[in-house]
Amino acid sequence: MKASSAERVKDVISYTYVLLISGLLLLPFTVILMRSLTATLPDGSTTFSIKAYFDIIASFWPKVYLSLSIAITTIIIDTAIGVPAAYALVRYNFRGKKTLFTMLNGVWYVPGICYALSLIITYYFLYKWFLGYWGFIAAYTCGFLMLMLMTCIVAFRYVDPCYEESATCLGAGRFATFFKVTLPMVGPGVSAGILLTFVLSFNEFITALLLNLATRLQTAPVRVYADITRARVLPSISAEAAVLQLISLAVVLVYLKVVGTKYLRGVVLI
Amino acid sequence: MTTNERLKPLALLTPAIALEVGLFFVPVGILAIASLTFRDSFFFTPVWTLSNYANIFSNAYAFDFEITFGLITLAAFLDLMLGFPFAYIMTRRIRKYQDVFRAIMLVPLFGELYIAYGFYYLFFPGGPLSFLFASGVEMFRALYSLPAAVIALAIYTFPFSVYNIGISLQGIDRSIEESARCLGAGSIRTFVNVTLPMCIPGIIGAWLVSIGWGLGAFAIPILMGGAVVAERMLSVEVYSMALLRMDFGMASAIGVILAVIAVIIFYVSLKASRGALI
Amino acid sequence: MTRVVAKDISKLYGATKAVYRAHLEAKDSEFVTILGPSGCGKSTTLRIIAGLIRADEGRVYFDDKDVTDLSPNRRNIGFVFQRVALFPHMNVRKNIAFGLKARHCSDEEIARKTKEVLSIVQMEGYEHRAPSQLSGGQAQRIEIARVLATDPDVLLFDEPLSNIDAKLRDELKFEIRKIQRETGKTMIYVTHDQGEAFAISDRIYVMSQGIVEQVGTPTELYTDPSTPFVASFIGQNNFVTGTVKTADPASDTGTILAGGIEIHTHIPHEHALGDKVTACIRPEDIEILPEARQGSKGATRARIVESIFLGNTTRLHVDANGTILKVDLRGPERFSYLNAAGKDITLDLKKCSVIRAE
Repeated sequence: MKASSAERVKDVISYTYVLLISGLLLLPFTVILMRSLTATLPDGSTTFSIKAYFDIIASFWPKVYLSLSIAITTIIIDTAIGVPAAYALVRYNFRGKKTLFTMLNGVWYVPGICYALSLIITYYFLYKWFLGYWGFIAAYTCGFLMLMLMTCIVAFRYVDPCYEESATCLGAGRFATFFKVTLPMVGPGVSAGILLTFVLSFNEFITALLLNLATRLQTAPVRVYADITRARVLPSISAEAAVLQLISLAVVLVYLKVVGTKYLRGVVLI
Repeated sequence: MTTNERLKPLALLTPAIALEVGLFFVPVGILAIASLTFRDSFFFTPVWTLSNYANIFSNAYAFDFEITFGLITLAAFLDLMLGFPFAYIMTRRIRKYQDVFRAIMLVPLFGELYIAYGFYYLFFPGGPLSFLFASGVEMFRALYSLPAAVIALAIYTFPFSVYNIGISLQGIDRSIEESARCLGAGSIRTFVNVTLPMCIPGIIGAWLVSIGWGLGAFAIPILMGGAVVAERMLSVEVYSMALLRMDFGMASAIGVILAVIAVIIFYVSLKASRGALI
Repeated sequence: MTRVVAKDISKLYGATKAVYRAHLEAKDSEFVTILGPSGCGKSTTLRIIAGLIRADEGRVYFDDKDVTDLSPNRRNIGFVFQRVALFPHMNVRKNIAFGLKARHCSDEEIARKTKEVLSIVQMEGYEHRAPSQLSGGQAQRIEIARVLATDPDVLLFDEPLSNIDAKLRDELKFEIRKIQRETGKTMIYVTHDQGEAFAISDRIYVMSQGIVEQVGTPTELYTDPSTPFVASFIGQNNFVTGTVKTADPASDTGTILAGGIEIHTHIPHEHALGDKVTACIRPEDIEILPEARQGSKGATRARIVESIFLGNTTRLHVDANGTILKVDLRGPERFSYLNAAGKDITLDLKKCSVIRAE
C-alpha cells in the first residue's frame, strides 16, 4: 500500500509537469486566439466578439487560398517523387547509398534564411521563369522532400519484403505487386509525410517572405507578418494568425483521429 | 526483390536527385559564388573580393556572433532542462493520453511566426501582462528583452530537442536498469549512475540540434528582438543585408558561414546521438 | 509433377560463400528437404530455385526447361514463407484469389478453386476472415491454400513451421506431407529441425556453410553419415578418433585403435592401414554386454561416471580408458542403471560408422 501511494505521487508530479509544459507550448497559440476573440467598444472597454474573423474574410481569404494551393501542389509533387525514391532506398542495395541519402537530406540542415536567399539569387540569375507561383512550388518541393523521404522510408521499413515476394511468387508482375500489395500497406505511412509537408509548407514564412519581395505574391503567413509590422496587435491580425493555426490544428487532429501517431513516431515524435 | 539490378533504383531516384541538384546544390553553389562578389555586383558585372569574409572574421561581427550564439545556446540549455524531464516522463511514466501530449508537441512545428507573435502580443504595452509593470517603459524593455526571446526560441526548438532525448531514452535497455535495482541501487542512484550516463550522447545531440535549429530562427528575433538583438542576430542580418541594404555579397557570405556552421553542428549531433535525425 | 534440377549453384556476398557449387535434384512428385543449421545456405538455395535471388553461377531447370532467367512470377511456383505473408489488407478469400486474378481466371473459377483449396487444408468457411483474426496455425494453413490455388508446378516451403508452437508443428508437418502426397506436387522443403525432416521427407540434402554435405534418405543419413558434420548434426554421436590398426579387405572389417580403446568394426575400403579415422558411434547403438559375453572380441571395459534419467531414456556418461562416451539405454533396461555411478561395465562398440578424420 505504501508503494502504491509513492507511485501515485510520482504520477501526479508527472502529469502536472507535462501539463505545465504543454501549457507553455500552447501559450502563444492561446494568447493569439484570445486576442482574436475580442473587440474594442466605443467606450474603450473590450468584450468577447468574433467580429474580427468576419472583418478579415474578404482580404485574407485569397491569401489562405494561395497558401493552400501551394501546399497541395507541393504535396502532390513531393509524393510522386518521394515514394519511388524511398522505395529505391529501402529495397535496393547499391554502392554510395548512404552518401546519396545524406546528400538528399542536405536541405533540411541549412538554415531557412540561407536557403531562401540562395533561391532568390538563383531565381533572378538563372531560373527567371520561377519568379512567380512556380518559384514557391520549386522551393517547397525541394525544401520538404526530405520530410516525405523520411516518413516513406519508415513506412516501407514497416512493410516486410516477404509480402512483395509472396505476391511475385503467386504470379503478380511488378506493377500489380506495387499497386495491390505495397501501396495499400504503405499508404498510412505516406500519409504521415503528407501531413507534415502540409503543415510545414502551409505555414512556411521565411522563403515566402523573400519570394514575396521578389514576386509580389503574398502567402498567408507573410500577410500576417506584414500586418504585424504595419498595425501591431489588432484583433483582426490575431484572427488571421488564429485562422492559420486553426486550419493546421484541424488537419492534424483529423489525421490523428483517423490514422493515429503510429507513423509519426520515428520521424518527429517519440 | 532484393536483387542487385543497378538501373532500377537509379531510375526511381532520378527525379529526387534532379530536384536536389537543381534546386539545392545549384542555388547553394550560386550563393557561395555570390559571397565572393562585392555588394550587388553579382547581378551585373561581378567584382570579385574576399572583403565580405574579411569583414565577418573581423571584430565588426564579433558581437553579432556573441549575441546569436549566446541566445541560441541559452535556449538550448532551457530546452534540455525542460525537455529532459518531459521526455523521461513521456517515455517512462505516462500511459494514458500519450497521444494527446504527442499532438501538443507538434504545435510549435506550425510556425515560428506564431510563437513570436504570441509573445510579442503578451509583452506589448497595453497587452495582457501590462498590469505587471507600472510604466510603459518597463514593458518595452521586457518585450525587447533577452529572457522572452530565449523562451520563445526554446519553445520553437522544443520538439526537436525532446525527440532526440526521447529516442535516446527509448534506446536504453530496461533490463540494465533493472539489474542495477536488483543489485541494490535505489531509484535515484540507478538514475544518476546508470540511466543518465547512457543518455549523455542523446543529451548532447539534443543540445546541438536545438542550436542547429535555433540558427535558422528568423521570425522570433525579427519580431521580438528589438533594436539591439534583431539587428544583431545573424539570420536577420542576412535578410537585412540583402533586402534593405542591397548588399548581396555580404548577405551571401553571412549565409554561407551560417549554413556551414549549422551543417557541422547537425553532423556532430548526428554522430553524438547516433542517428536521431530530425 | 515436375522435376527440378539446380545445377552447381553458387552465390557469394562479398567474400562470403552463401552457397557454393550446390547441386540439387527433386524428382517428379518427390518430397525433398534441405536440412541444416542457420546460415548454412538452405534458404538461399531455395530462393534461387524460386527466382527471388539471382545465383552468381549455375542454372535451374524445371523439367528440362531452363528457368534461371525467369522472374518468380513466371515460374509457376508456390512459395510459403517462414513468416506468414498473408496480405493484411485483404480477407482470406481475396488472398486466395490473388494468384488466380494474376492469371486472369474467371470469377466462377476463382470461387470454385477457393472452395477446393480451403477444403484441402480443412479451413472451409473461413473465406471472410481477416488475417489478423487467424491464429498462427490457421494462418499458415490459409497460406498453403493460397499457393495451392494457382496449381503450381513446384512447391517451395521455407521453414514454414518455425514460428508455430511445438504441438501444432507436429500435426501440421504431417498435414503438409499428406497434402503433398494427395496433390502429387514436387516439394522442396527447408528446415533446421532434423526430426521434422526425417518425419516427412523422401530424400534429404544436408547443408553446412553453403556446401551440400550429403544427400540421402533418412535411413541412409542416419546409419551412414559420410562427413563429420552430418555425423554430428543428425542424431547424437560419440566421436572417437584414432588409426586403423588392422584391416581385412576380404571381409571389410578391422580394428581401430583410438584413445585407449580398440574397436572392432566394419571398415570401408577407402581407409587403409595406418589411416587416421574417426569412429562415430551413436549412444543408442552401444550395447552393454551381459556377463556371459564380457570376454568376447571387441568388448571394451568402462566405468560409469554419471547416470541421468530422462524419462524414456537413461543416459550414461562412461569412462572407457580415458575416453568419455555417452550411452543411451531405452526400454526396461534403463531402470537397471539409475544410480549406477562408479559401476564397472563392458561395452560392445561394433555398431559404428567410420569416416576420415578431419
